[in-house]
Amino acid sequence: MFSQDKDIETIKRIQSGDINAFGDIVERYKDSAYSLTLKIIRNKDEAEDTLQDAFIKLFKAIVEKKYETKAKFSTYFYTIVYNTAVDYYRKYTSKRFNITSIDITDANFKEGDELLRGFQETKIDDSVAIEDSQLSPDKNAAGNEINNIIYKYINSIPEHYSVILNMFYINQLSHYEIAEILKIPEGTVKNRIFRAKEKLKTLLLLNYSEEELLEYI
Amino acid sequence: MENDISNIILEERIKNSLFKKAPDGFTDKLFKEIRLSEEFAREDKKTTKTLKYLLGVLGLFIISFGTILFSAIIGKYEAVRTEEENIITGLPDYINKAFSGILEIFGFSISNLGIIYLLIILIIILGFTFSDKFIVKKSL
Repeated sequence: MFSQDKDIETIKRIQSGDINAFGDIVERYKDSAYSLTLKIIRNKDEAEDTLQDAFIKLFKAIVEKKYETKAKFSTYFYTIVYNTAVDYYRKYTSKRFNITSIDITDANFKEGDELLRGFQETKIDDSVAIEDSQLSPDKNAAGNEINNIIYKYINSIPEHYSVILNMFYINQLSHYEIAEILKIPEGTVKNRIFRAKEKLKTLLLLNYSEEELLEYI
Repeated sequence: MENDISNIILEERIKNSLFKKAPDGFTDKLFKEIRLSEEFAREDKKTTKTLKYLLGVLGLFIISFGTILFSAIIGKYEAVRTEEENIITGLPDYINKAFSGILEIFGFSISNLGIIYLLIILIIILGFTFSDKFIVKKSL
């Protein structure tokens, strides 16, 4: 957990001329911000370049004292990251990135929908599957299979779900903060997190009982 | 209770699946970019300062040259000016005559109306230059 106080202290050091202090901010946030950028851009090299741009924008904002320390730093930073990535996406791809592109209602959720469409089309790359060596060989195999299902599911769901999940679980933003950044109602944020999770549970329960899941994962 | 545990474990797995590590050397690459952009900003500042200085010198030169030329031509017409004319009432006439005089030096001749049009065009060009410099660029 990154504390606001620590961030503010680092920002003050940067503003007083200690440029190297910016390295602390970069180290603190680069992985979680990269996860978010990659969810939007879906290309490693372009995501890296876009994140570099976002950090440079942040650096200038700090140096030029555009960031007011009263505001929560992480929200401010992830807004820059999100906007930079979406701008890049809009500029260099013909597709239009729209976080509100699909209106999620109970009806279309129950129909099976877009949450699983990508999952059915995606092949899992075993090299990126999560391993858990603490489990016995049998359990390990089952555990890996479950992890593969989760990994494949999470990395195949549309960006209007994965971006919100990333902001909530990785960037540790609240429902309210996510709604502010994405400019969508807070209820939509809550719904999408809930539905993405419920769909995953349903998917896992198709192959495993609740007891097996508890045992293997 | 079981449901809670499975929920917590599931959320942990979701986090693991979502998390992606930034490429190696990301921070070094970023700092190179930052130092480069700082360098560019410094160079930009220097260039703007030099350009402002040059523009200032050029402006001063044009004003001085204009004033000298203007005085010389006015002096020439002053000699033939009648007694009852004074400076204020005769100012538009002076400007016209001065411009005609300057243009005559370069081998051009222009009517009074033409001089007024020329002055208006000059003022518009100057206006655009200043608005671009001070309004448009400031708002960026």
